[in-house]
Amino acid sequence: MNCLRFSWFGRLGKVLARQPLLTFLLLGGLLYVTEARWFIPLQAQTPIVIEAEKVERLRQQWTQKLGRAPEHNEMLAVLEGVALEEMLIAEAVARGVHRNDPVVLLRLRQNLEFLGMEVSPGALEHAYDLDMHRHDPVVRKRLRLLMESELLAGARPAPTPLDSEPPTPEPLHKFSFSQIFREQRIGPDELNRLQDARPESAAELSDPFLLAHRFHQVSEVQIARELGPDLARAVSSAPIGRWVGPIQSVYGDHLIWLEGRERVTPNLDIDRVRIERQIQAEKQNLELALADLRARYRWHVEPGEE
Amino acid sequence: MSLRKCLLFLAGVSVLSMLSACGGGESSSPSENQELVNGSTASKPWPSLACDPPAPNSQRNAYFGELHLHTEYSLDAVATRLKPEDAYRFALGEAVAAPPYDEAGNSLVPPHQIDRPLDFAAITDHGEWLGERQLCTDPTIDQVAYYSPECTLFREDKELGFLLFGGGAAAFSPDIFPKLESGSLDSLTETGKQRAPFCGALGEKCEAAARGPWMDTQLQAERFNQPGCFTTFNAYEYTLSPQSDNLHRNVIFRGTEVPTIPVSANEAPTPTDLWRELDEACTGDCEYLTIPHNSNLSNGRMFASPNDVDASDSYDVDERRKAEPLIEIFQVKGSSECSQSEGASEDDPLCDFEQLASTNFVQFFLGVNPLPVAPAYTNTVRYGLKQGLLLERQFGANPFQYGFVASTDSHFGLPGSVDEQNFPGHRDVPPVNGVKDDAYNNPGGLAVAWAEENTRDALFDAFKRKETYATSGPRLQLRVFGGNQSGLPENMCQGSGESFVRQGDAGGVPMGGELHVGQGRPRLAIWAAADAWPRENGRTKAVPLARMQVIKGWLELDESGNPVTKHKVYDVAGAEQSDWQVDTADCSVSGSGPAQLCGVWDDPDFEPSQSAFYYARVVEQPTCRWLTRQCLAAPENLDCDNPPEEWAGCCAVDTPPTVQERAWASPIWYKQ
Repeated sequence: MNCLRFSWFGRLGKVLARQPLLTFLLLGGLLYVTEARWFIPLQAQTPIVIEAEKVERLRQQWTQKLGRAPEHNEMLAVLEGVALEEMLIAEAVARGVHRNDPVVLLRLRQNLEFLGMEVSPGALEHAYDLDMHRHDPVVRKRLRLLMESELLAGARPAPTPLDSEPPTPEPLHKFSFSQIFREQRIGPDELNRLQDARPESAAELSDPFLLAHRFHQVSEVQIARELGPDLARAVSSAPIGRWVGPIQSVYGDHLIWLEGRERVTPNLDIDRVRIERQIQAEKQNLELALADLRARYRWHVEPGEE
Repeated sequence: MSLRKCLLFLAGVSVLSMLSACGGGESSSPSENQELVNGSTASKPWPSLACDPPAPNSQRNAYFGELHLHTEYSLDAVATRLKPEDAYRFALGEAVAAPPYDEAGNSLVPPHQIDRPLDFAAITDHGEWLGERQLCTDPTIDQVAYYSPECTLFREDKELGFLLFGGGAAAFSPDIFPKLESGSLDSLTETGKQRAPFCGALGEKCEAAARGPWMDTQLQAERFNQPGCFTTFNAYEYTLSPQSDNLHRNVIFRGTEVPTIPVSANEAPTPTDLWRELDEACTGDCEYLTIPHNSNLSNGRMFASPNDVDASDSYDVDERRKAEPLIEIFQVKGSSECSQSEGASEDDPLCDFEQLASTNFVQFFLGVNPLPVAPAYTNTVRYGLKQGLLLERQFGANPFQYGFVASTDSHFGLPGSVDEQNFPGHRDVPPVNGVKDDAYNNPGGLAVAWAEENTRDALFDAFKRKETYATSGPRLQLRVFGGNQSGLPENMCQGSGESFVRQGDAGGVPMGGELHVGQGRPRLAIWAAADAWPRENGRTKAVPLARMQVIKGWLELDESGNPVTKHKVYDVAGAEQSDWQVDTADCSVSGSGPAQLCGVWDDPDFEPSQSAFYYARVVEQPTCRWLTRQCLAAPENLDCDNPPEEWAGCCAVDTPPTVQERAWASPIWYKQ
């Protein structure tokens, strides 16, 4: 078999060597087909035209929904969304997706049947002539999804590839501290007296307090959650091994004795990280691919400016 | 992580991609748009993934969360484009794109962010119309359904579509929409419940279409659950409204094992059917509980006796007790605690708090009610607790022995968005500038559980034992123990919080527990601490407490020997004069008040033979209500004879300018 193929190619080569015109035509044809299939989408495309009637309909929908007409930049954002969808459809059509996808073909045949038209292999041209592939919502959605998948597959590499090292989570500090709590303001005399107190005595030296007198290895967020943001900030910046304060909270005055500050790295579930990365990368890549697409198409509102 | 979980996640990625691509010509989701706006898709690398859980606390911590939240998957969530993923991100503290949106899906208001992350959340989209919504918004699933008149109408006007084939035909009774439901085109499920014709002859198309969003709900719950740091629950809402009377329940599952599709009112036309169907579908490691809500809209049905109501509504008392440990006492559609109407709780002025004027959904949506109306007080949780005492005498068990939680019921996909200062609305499309919701609604509240750690098992166990309380939004801490004089020392409030809990655990029972005859005169030890977070005066001033009370309900025999129930409100702490003031002209506050209230209370009216319940309620000092705050931005010289629609709410005269936010502790029961 291989010998046969080799011999066929060999004979073709000899024929082409003797016929330069045939060689030229063959290569030209190949280039034409290749460019039509793969490279046309990379060239500047026919501008997307959004009909004035559609613009007006969108404007009315907006007004009906929000009770006021859209402002210029708001309408622009709406139209950009519409234009992007049209770009995806146009790109899919340019790549011939509408002629190859079995779901699209099935749907177009169903439409022809519904219209009582003949359903034969050649009859699909009627559907294309009628622009069914551009107007039928099922086909449009199918083309849009396929195009997004295709763009995603051909997108630039993700900036956070799946197999790279997982990120190191931001380290955080965990604090262990005791507090003396007083409902009333702590005056200077009492403050002096309390400087000699041991942190183990914090509960006995405090006024009644529902929340804890000793916290073990809690983060600033957890302190804020219990005692308010001001106290959390004070703890996070307190020196170790002496009373700091009084610091005011909604509850009263607090003296803080910071026993230790430990820098910890939160645990990361590597499997989750990888999956999250995949989701994020896919989103990001799609946006990059869509940005490329936007750069290659122009759009304008009929009959206004782009 | 097990291989199974990995596969589940990877499947989730695919399903997520498919789902996020669905929706016809809609653009990407708002959260994605927001990321684009910020230009930082990966600037905050997965904050939910880094977890450094604190050690379990044997004295238990208060965890604040949301157990009632709708996303885009709910048919009646007409304004939002947020999905479960966005909701969990919001709960964790990320800013998301809130309604309203333009046609392309861009939010028209600044990114919305919770003031403090939640500790747990459950997403409870309506189980009934998951499939209907999916079929109506995705043309590629079933074109016959997509182009049906109902779906076409829904896409044109979501609210009208929901009322006609969702809330109207599927959930409301045929008595309300007889013509709509008697059409031969309507399909019948196996239980005879009618669904929209496009659901197929037996509703099979809608059942199949429901699997997509239900799967995504589970996948996102699995994705964001971080044991020790943030807990998610698989959940949905069961939406039964016979004759438009609200009998809705949120169904919360303990873990990852859940039924293939939610057991909805279509399959289970009564609450008893719900529990039975769940018992059949939820086996093995699957465990569930149901939480009824909005008894204030139940038109007397929520706390009916098994013998009082239609045979189809009857229930098994033991089954109800087992399935339903909690009730949602507060949410956006008002407080269900108590009512001063019809002489029900005239002695309790604090009942006049976020009261809804409607008694069922017909009245709520249409403003009029042609149906027979039950007295408003029969819709209150307080009435239900008292009925429970009566029914216990009759049936030997109390079907309404409920602990309390609150939540939002937001249909914007914004869990725990309870800040009066930053209320984005809850269901209808809000104006960009103007009053964000109907004047009688409110931002809703939070569920709080006392648990050893922030995990599914620890929180679910707390729900089951009712060691929970409800807040109207602020993160008050409220701790209650019940016992007697020998078990709970009189000086419990004089020591530290640690000793308070140690003594309470040793000599009594926590909120949600039971005391029994022979234990002597009930004593309650109650300690409340104010929300530590400054919420007023530009987030610089915290709000102190005002008073702490005990509400007692009991059963006694009248002169003829017939059992009757009564209740009484006791002040325990606070209530003295305060210099606290709120200026409604600019919503600033001034003055001070106690940041803690603690009391040891003995029942002065105790009769050993009378079954009773006791629950604590603590209220803050007054602050501006959300509507007052939003109306500060109203145009000067607003003409209330002809106000612009978006500011018309500022002309409402029947809502108070201030509120006293509060917390309600689960009751402790004294039983014979």
